[in-house]
Amino acid sequence: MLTIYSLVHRCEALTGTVTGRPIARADGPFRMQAAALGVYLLYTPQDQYLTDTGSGSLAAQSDPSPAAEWAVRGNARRGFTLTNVATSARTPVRFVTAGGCATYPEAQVDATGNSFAGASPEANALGTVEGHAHITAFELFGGDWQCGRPWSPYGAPYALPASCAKDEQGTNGVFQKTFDYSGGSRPSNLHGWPTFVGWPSPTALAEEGDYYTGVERAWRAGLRIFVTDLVDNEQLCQQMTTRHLPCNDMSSVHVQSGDLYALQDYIDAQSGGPGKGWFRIVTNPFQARRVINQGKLAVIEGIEVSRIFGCGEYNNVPECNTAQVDAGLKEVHDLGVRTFFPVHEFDNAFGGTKMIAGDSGAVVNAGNREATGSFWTVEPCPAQDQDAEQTSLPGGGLPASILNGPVAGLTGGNPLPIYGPGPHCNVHGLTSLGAYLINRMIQQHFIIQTDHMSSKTATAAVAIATARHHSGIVSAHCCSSPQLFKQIYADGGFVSEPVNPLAAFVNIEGVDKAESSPQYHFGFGWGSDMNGLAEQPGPSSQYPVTYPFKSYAGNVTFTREVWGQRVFDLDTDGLANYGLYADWLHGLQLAGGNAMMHDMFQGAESYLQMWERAVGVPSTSCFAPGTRFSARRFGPRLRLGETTTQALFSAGQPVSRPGRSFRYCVAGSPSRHVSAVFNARGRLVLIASNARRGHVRYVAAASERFMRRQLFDPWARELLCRAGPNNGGSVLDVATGPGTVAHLVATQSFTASSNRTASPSFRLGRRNVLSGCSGR
Amino acid sequence: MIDAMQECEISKPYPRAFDAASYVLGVEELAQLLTKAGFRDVTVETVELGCVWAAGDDAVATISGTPFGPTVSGLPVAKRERVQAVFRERLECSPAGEVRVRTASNIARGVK
Repeated sequence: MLTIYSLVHRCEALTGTVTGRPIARADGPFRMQAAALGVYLLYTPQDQYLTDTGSGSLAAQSDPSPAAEWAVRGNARRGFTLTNVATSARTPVRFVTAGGCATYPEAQVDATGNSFAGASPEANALGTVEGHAHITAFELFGGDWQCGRPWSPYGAPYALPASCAKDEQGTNGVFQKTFDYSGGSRPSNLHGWPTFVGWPSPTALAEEGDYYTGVERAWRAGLRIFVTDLVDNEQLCQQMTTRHLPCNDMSSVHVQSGDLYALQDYIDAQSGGPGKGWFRIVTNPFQARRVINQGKLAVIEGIEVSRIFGCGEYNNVPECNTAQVDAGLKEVHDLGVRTFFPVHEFDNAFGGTKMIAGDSGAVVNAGNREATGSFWTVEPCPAQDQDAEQTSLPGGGLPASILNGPVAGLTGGNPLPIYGPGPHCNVHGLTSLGAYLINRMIQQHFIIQTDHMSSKTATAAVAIATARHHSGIVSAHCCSSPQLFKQIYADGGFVSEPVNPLAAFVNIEGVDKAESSPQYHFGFGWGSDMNGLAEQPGPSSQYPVTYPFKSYAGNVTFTREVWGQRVFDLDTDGLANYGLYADWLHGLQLAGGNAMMHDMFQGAESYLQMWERAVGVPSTSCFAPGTRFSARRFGPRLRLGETTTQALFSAGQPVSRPGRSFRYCVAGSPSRHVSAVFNARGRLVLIASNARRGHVRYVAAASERFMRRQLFDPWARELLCRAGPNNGGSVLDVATGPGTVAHLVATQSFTASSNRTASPSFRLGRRNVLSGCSGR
Repeated sequence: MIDAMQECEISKPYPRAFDAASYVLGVEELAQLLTKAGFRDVTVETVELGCVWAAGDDAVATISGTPFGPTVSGLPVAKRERVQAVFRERLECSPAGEVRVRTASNIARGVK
């Protein structure tokens, strides 16, 4: 039945239900292009927009505007109305399915086939992990610095505009030249939709790279966890000539968090209604697992700013206290944030920064002076502990010209410091307030981002996590302290690395994997930092991609990504926009083979298990041999009727999660296990084990107590008696219910499988002899 | 069980919940189904078994192990007890308190 959401993408003519006459027949029929949930652009066959002129008439106009946005209300039974967003004019209408509509211009995903889903909501998760994205960074530096945005109510032609000129005014343009195209080489002929000359590009850092159809392409290739950090920098924001947002990190966090949810709504609108889109913001690992096993993308909201909670420092005096930290944690938790960087590019009240190298580092260092009252202060240190090495600047070049020119205020008239030979370490480590923050993050189950902390700061933060047995500690992209990876892995944390050329990334994965702990599930990820002033790998012919190619899971076929007139090819364009991560992943398969892909696709499971432990789920431990069954439970840890989440908290992380079950190990008996089986509503209904003195036992819920012995067992015996399976044969128990037949046949020394949505099979012991068929 | 719920005017928890025939695959239907599925030499036999509950309360409690369980457990206490009481009345308890119910199933056999 037609709804206000299912209208999306349909071709419709309009009839007034009061007059019974067609509406704007000369301009129709209309492609229903969703601008938001339940709001549509009525796109004409002449590529125009049906618009309320405000004088009581409708006209097709060439550009969209609020007067071309129509809110649809009502339903198929009571009828629909169209309300113009600009004029509020309301018209009762009937939609009449039509043909001959135009196709709305949009960036293409260029993938066919359905991406994979999980066996059940609680099953092992399969998929890759983006540990560090910035899909809301279009609001960076006051909102007028970056050209383009990841979506627009009016689609790609307006999200990815033909001209970036308005973002190049004054110092905005100066900073673009500093950061863009490796500095000082920004093309003068940049053009967006539809030609895309010059951008997107792996080195175009001031132009949008994360347009949502690109993320969709990566999702179709297997991306299942997408950590996106709300990001800003107050000092650089203040240098911008034009801006429309306040230069305040926490204000920006609120704005960007709203953007993230708006993007989710927009994708829902394109997908048929609330909750139907593939882009799902999640706030706990259990929700994330369900989303992933639906075959969707779990989006985790993080923060990467230098003055989180307003906690900067000036002349080594902190600008906040513990009460403000507590209030800040609640504030961001309420927004849905579950991970953040205590320290970013500037020293702050929590600790020292890792610093930034090169020309960009010189500008950021000047920002550090503006924010804290001093440039970075370094000390010699062992090479393995070093932070970003600082150069002796400036003698000239672009940073000097900027710092002596348009943004001289950053240096306060002081020359940039000249550092001695490296290695350099930031003298600042974790402060007492920083230690307080880390402890509170652990208590409140946040995932701690260690990147950007100076080695001294990160070492102290990781030590606290280790002492508190907190697995929620990650290194997700650049600016890390790799000497700490072994400890992060030992704590049960997660590492994703910056994206490198394919062979290099394979090597890095091997190095990191060697540091990982066998105690925890290993998976790997990448941290693109796209839209975060991070260059992406450029063109390469090292592992040429042949188009079309199939996804690693094999069910999606990719052709070259097309935006307007631009056709992207990984070999010649590099990682120009996020959609090319699908192609890069295929290249990674060519470079690293299936072993590499296995680790990449175990990334989601590894990340989820890390997050589960961070929120208090005990890590995997085996059941004691001889654990007793009772009518309602197995030992002290598994109780019938529990939800999957309750079972995790009470019994800990299972060894594996096949189908609708959790499988636990038994101490000292590698061949023994305990299976906890859940029903379709996620309730524990069956516990089976081959552990207790070698015999099978199981307990189930009410049906076990009042129906198994009285009703199911007699019928199962009757059935088996009549079927007469041979010793050593196999029995497939279809629609197994509580598993009575599977259990009974197994006790007669057969191998039994029950196939109620991939329930586990049981290899069981030898007991009992079937009695005669009583029903004969 | 269905009669008891209908007598107590409990709403159907799902379509055809109170249509006993909807739970049954008849002899001919079952034979046809298996034959169409490629089994040969299909035979179907209606088998009866006597099932025993040690106490009336146990027999009444089977409601909670059926698809009606969530509906009944979600009723107000008085209404729930009324359903249970009506169900109990329809079960015949022996002098020893046992409940014996004659149950039937269609069991098919085929070769593939």
